[in-house]
Amino acid sequence: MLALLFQSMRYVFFQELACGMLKYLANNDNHKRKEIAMWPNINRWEHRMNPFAELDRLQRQMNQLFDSTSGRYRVSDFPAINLEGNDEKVHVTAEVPGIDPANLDLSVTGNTLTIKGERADLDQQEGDVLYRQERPVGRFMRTIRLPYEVDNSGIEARYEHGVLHITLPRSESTKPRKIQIQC
Amino acid sequence: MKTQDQLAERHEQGLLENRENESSLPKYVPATDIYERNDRIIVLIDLPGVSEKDVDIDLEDNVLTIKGTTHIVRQEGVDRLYQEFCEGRFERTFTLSADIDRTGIKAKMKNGVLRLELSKAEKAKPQKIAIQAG
Repeated sequence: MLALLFQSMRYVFFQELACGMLKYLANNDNHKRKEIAMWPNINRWEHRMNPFAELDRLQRQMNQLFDSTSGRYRVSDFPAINLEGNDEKVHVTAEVPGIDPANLDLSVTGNTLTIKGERADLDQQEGDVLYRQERPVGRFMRTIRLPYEVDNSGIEARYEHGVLHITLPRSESTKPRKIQIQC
Repeated sequence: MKTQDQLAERHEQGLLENRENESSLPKYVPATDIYERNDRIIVLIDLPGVSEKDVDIDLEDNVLTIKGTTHIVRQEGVDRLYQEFCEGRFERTFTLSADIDRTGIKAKMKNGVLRLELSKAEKAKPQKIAIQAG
């Protein structure tokens, strides 16, 4: 009984600690958070239905925290992306310098876009002396939730100066329809 | 919290006011790899979104400065939904040792990565010294 109480207290303590850390991060990053808040939360109900959604989110954010410090394999923060769009289409821009476009793998399912790829290791040869290595290498993957489902056949992608530009048109079935009200 | 909001706002305002003035764009330090192979030093610099003509390579005395500017073309009639990177300047300075042959610097830009090849000056190349018997 006592052990159980201790366990649950420990859990609460951990949660408090994690929340505090996240709040600290959020405060530090205020400018960015404001932008995120503009993101239309279309899956609002999903969160209500799933009692563990909050925990999942916490878990994900904790993972991101550690991913960004582990260096070699970046899952969450590479490549950096920008998103802009309107009711008709959405544009995704991603900074992926130094990658052969043939090694980039884009896939779309419903309203999620996944960018996968591998940045080749330095073409190191025997006898090379390495002074500085800051550019990230290795495999990366990033999944982006789009504000609506997109038309798979109309997606255009272009790679220019190390930046990937993707244009995704909204699928016809999810476009808003004006409904006439009869009196 | 409040002050941070204000700071962010002021920062944004400043950016908008000085958009014309390039020097006020946020400055980034690009990630760089440096390695030595045979008699050459190879420098790789990530400059995503920078085209060949927007890169400036300056050599003054033995200080090598690389500058680049990104230009993000905003689409008409779309809203910004989420942003992680913005227009800016890349700038990085390296001090070369005196043993670099200044005339033999090669620069190449591909897929947003700048590759510089510096060759070592003749006098810095290792020389075998023959020992005479006697």
